[in-house]
Amino acid sequence: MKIAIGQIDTILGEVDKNIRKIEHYTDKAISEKCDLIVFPELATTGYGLRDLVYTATRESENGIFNSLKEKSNFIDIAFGFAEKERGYFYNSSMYLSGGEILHIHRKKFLPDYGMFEEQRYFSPGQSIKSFNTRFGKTTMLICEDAFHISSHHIAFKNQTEILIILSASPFWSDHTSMKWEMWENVCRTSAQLNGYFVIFSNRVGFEDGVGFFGKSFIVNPNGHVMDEAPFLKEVLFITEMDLRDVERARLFMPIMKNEVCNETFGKAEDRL
Amino acid sequence: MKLLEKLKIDCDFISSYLVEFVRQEITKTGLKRAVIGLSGGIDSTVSAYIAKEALGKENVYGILMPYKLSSKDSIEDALKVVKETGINHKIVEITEPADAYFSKFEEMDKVRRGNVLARMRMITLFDHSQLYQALVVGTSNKTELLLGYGTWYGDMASSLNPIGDLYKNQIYQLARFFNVPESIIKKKPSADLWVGQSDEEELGFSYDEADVILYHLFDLHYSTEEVIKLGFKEELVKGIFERVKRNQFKRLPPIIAKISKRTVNIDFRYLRDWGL
Repeated sequence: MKIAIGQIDTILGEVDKNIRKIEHYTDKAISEKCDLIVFPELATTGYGLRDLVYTATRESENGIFNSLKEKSNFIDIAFGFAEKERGYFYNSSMYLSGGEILHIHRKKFLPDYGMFEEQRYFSPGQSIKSFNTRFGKTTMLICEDAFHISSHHIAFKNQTEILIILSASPFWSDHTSMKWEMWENVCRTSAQLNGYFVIFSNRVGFEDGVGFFGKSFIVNPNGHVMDEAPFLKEVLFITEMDLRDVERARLFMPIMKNEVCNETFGKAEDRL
Repeated sequence: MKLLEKLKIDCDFISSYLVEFVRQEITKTGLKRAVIGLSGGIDSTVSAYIAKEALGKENVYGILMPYKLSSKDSIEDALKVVKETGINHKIVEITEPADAYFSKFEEMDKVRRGNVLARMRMITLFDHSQLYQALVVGTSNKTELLLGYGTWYGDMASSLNPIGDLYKNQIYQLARFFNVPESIIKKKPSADLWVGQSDEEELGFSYDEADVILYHLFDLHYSTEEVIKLGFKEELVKGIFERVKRNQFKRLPPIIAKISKRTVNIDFRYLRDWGL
């Protein structure tokens, strides 16, 4: 399976222009014969929306997504967008396949600490659901969702094979760490413990001094970073992954096998 | 671990990050040039090296703005930066306009005079930003910004600031990384607003002390008591904390009386990069 990550920059609040860019990279990925392309969080709008949520959000059925839907006959597409529904706003991601919306995930954990103001503008999603794609059981998380161990537990419980994390992660560092180390730790641990692929798609570019660092990557089910996109640079990043690695990793470490009868899933008698 | 070692940065990454910051945050506005006030000090030197990497030497204008009492070393060091980087430069003496203003008053203390010099330089830089269709790249570091050791709408004024989140010690690390002229690294930091001025003498503590205290207080969320336990005098830690608090206004645009349902910067909230 050939997977592309559209590690893009966006223009704040300019939905039409950003969607054209998403379409452009999707076309490139199609011509590179990729099977799936993943874009970052809020790829249609940019991140620091503040009052732009009133004008830059769109209903998921808005015609603005028609061209991408059309393209999903040739490639599966996952991208972050600012969603509007009946006067409420969500930080969402859409998975398109076969010309249709296969799944929409609404970010459940909206950061509102430090520099973050998401909870001020967006409503939280109520659940994290897994869904079947032509590649297997898939779960999408958006940025902060992935810092909650409960999200990884749901992905595990649902027997996820591909975990997609869409992100707009700002750069910071201190004397002990660089921001991306946190992402590598989280994704490698999740991949290893749960025996699935993790696709981490992060944006690039600056918004009022806040730099989104890129460095998107893919972790295999053994917890190894297979390949990593560059720091700060907008690129179409393409990697091959062998879906059979999920089975191989689970043959080697069949963690779920012994999990089913303990309290993680409820008491053993519940299953009988 | 020595406390100051906590401030160590990966100069390779940080410099490439700052170069991209300057490149992207200038070019996305439709401009491609930068104006920087070159004092011959470490801060403006590092900013100039970053701007040159970001935009190319032909797109960076270093403006030297001596007053008649400015130290000779300042000009010489600034010219070394020009020579090393190959950026454009211009010397604009501010003696005449500053003295014309001073002559309106019988007596002016050195703080008033210093502020006027800093603001005269601000006028010069922003005038040249219009002339060259450029943005003014700021040169205030995090230590100064937190301490409020600068002139509001003077040296603190700029369009964008690549070094405002770096402590003085970290500026020195970058300076060594860029191989800036040794005389600039060696000399004592000075705002050079009056003869013989020394930052550290005027502040009453060293930059290294300030950096470590500020880093623990604000970056690491230590309480003043916890910082004192690291081995600093109570008076020093509390004095620095008070300074930071007292100077918050210098780090913000003017406050606005909220009257309507949507007040600029309160609940009319857009980033500078709106549509860019």
